[in-house]
Amino acid sequence: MPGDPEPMAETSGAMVVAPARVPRAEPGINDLPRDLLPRVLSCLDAREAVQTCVLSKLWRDLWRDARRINASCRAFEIDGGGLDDHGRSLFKEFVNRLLMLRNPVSLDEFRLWYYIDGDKLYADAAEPNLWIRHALLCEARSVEIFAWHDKLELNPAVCTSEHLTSLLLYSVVLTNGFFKQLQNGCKALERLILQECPINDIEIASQTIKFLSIGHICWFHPRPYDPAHQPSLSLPNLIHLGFFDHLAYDGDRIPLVKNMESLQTAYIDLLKYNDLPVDDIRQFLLGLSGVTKLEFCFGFGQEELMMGMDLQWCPKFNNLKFLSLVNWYLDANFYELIAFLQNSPNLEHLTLSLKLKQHAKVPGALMGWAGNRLFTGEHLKTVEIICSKDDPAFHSHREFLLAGGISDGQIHIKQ
Amino acid sequence: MAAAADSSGDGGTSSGEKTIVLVSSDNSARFEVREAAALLSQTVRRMIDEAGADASGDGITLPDVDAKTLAKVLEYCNKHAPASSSSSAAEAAPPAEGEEDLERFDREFVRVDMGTLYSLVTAASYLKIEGLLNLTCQTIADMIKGKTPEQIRKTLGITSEFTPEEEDEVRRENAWAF
Repeated sequence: MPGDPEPMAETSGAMVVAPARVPRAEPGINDLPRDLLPRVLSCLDAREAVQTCVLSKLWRDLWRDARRINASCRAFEIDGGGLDDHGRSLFKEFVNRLLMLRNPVSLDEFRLWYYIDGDKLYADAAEPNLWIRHALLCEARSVEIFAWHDKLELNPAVCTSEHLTSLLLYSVVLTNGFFKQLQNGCKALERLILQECPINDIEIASQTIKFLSIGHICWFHPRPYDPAHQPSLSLPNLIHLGFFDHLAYDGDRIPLVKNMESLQTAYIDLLKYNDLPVDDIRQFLLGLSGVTKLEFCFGFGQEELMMGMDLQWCPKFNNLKFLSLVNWYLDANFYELIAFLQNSPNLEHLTLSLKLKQHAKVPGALMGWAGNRLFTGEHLKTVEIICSKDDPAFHSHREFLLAGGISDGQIHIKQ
Repeated sequence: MAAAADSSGDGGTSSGEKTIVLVSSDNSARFEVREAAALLSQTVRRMIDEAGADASGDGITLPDVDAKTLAKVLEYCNKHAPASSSSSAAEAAPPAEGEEDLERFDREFVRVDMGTLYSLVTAASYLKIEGLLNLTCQTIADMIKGKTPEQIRKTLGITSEFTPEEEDEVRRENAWAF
């Protein structure tokens, strides 16, 4: 019911507790339920969110109730220029004040974009560690840290929380003891996403993590350095594993899988790992063998392995329904395909992602092999070949599959 | 697209999938929707749990959502609903549409006038539809980004009761953000 048609009268010292009910043709945001406004502010960069304090009396303190903080260093960039020392210093003060002055309502999410000056690695790491600790004390369920220019040194002791369920770290150093601390200190953690992280701690163990992604430009870097040290994975409740696009040096090894018994899906790209020992691959694939959905790519130097006629490196994938083989560009990949097909009796959907136009011809020896009915599963419904239009490789792959007993109606091309 | 003429309360599409009838606040419109779509609303989910078996009889009335808004909300739910409502966490059935397709849909979906947008965000909050709430709040937030206070006030229909002195005082108080 429209009340006083004039805006709330000016009274000194009075607290505004309700928005003015001004009848207007245009609906105003101030008419929304009060608790929705901080939610809108949660979508903004933190600096902009606080700046809404000048919009009106109602908005003066709304930012204090926002439950998500997106604090980006970039908000303090100079127009057209970048971020200078002064800007970085302003940002530090901003976040300090924000955390101090906001209302003690629990946080849903804390996201931080932070510039690390390589010359001041330790000095620059002090504040973010404190901020993360503070966010966790505010019961943040999700924390995302994006560092750039250099790596953020994260103090594992900071990671203690009963509420944290999701953690994303971009360009953060995971020191020795990091995973043990997560295991003991963050008992609700279910999701861990790592990108561009040097991982010094190589025993990756967790009872609670369900979703783990060790992705782009991560690398295992055990300290003290010992090439015999092999990383290990022990995650009995893990449902999805992403392991891809790492920075790998000669001699680097892929992890020993101790326990991934609940695993259902995996995205594995070993492209940068050269010349892996057969046993490493065999045990790794064995650790994955319970999945229903797999996207897979071999590394360099695996040709001999793949072409070994006994194909013993490939375990049985009895639950596998969806298989996608990516970065396909070697003759040896055909052997890889045969190995997987022969060991996946329940496969329903196959996708081949062809990378280059190089391989228009299937090796003669293989075609003969294929004639022996390479594929025995009755459940295969579709085969999708992803390549550019008019790629001659499509036809050779198609012939290969036909020779192996797959019917033409099942094969599709996708660009 | 979601608006259906008055239909019998009996759930069941031609494919036999369970449906639920939702009724707008003024009782002027009844919508029969797939269960999977309706259950995107935690509020509806709770109402069904509480009402038990008799729920589907007369349909579920939503006292805080008018017909026009409900129709639009159900457009969203139909698009975003998983292919089957009986998806266990293990299967994690994805929505029937592809991700790019959904993004395009979302972008178009929020190209509405401010009044409709406010109604949608309020309805999404009441109905507890997380995806729609995120989408509408983000849309409003995007209207704030990069604008001066005066521009924001104009877009969002805010009247500032601050005198210039008061506004300065607020700015000083939070100088660390300006």
